Amino acid sequence: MTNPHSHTDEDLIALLQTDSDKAIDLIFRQYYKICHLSAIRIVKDEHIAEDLVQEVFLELWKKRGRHVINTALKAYLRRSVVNRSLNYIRDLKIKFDEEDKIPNTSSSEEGALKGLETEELEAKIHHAINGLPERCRVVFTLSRFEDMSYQQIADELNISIKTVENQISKALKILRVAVNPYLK
Amino acid sequence: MKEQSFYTTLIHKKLTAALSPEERQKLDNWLSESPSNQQIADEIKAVWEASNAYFAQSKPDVASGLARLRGNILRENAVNTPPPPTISKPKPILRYLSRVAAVAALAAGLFFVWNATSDEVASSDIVMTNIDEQTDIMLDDGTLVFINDDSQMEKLSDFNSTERKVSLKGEAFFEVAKDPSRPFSVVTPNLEIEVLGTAFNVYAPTKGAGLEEIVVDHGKVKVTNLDNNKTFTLEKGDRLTYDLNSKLVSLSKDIQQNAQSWRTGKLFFNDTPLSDVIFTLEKHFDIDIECKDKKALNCSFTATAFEDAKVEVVMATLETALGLKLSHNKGSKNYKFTEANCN
Repeated sequence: MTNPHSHTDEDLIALLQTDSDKAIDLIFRQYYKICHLSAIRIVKDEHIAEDLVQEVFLELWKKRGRHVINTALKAYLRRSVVNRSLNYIRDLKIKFDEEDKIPNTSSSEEGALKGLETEELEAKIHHAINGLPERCRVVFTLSRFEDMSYQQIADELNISIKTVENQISKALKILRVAVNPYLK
Repeated sequence: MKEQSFYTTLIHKKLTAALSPEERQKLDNWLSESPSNQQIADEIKAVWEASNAYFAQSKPDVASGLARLRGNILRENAVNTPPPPTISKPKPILRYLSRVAAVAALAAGLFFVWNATSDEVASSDIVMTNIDEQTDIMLDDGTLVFINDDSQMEKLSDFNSTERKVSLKGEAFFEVAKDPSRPFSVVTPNLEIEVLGTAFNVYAPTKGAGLEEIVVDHGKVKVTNLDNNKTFTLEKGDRLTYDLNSKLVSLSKDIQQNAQSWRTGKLFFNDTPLSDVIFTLEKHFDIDIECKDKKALNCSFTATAFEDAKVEVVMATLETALGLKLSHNKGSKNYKFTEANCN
């Protein structure tokens, strides 16, 4: 551990059973940001992300002492956050099986802005990812940020591996076209 | 195009270290075929790396998040506090009870009308209020419901299952405990309200003609017209009415913010058309107001906040402001307006 203030997961899980209020405080401080980032990258809305992460931590608190969490705490939390986030967008009835329209990724109007600074590139890529067709965006996000394999993504979204491959390569193509002028 | 998809997938596999030796061979061959292939691969790699910026700027407030979590834990503790032996009657009116006070009262085990054990069949869970009796209760999930008089609420599902569903006749204000995994919905005779966010007022009168009305205090709800299954999404400040006679749904902004007047005792009119004023007063005072002069219904009425005002006071103000003539027999619930001079 490089951060002297961080605690090992073993310590935290043990503390969860003896002093759950203190433990949940420490766990929250240590992992809230990363959990929030996982959630927001899926649901695209900071308030909804906050709500979902709250649920996950509350769930962890409810389980204190009763369940031994075998995996690393961070992995466990992120996994819970991802599941809840996916359930959330599923409940919104985002049509994963419908072929989405390709959004307008034209970057011509900004073509004159070559040689941008990093911030602008970041804004550009952010915008481009946000504009991906929803299913494409979610599949890309799970691969890129949650390190999930094709098989895991397919299982999670109940789609075929072939569809996962197609969606990811579609995302990469769209993003490349949208952001390419800014990468040089 | 197909071919490029194939190699894009291989490039992606390489980036995620999922490439098999055989695939690596194929990719290397393709890359060496032409400099433009190599360029595509380089660009995809650059995009992949740059995409790390996605929402990286988002900085949630840890302190406020933690405060909220502690609140949720407190609420959770309160809900799980075992109920006292038996309480036969709902608690009497607690009109100005704040949210915090309600949670605290529950923690002290004061009122708990519904059985919280999970094995219990939910269909027997009914809360009824008499005329001139209001009550508030916390459901198993921590949702607070303030129920107006002459109303009936029934739990339609086991709250430990996948959905939380209640029916309502009369009027109630719901402050729903968030739980995206278990949607909360309220069914009235004509509408179904599905909660996507948090707090809203439902008015579904048990008798007489008029309107059903949904007003969202904060958050988001989805309302379904049960006649035709059309849905509407309402956000903060939105008001949906269902006309019980014409069966028409209309949407507007809740400008007067009087939907919760039964709970707060406050009435507020700002450039409010008389037609809306009449609806609010009928509901608030449980009276009938007749206005034969249809032109007068468009007159607008402004009055600073009434607080726990008597019906006579409000009526007198209305008379003066709009030049209305009021006919009313003492003790009767019927009021008649004639002759408006506001136009």
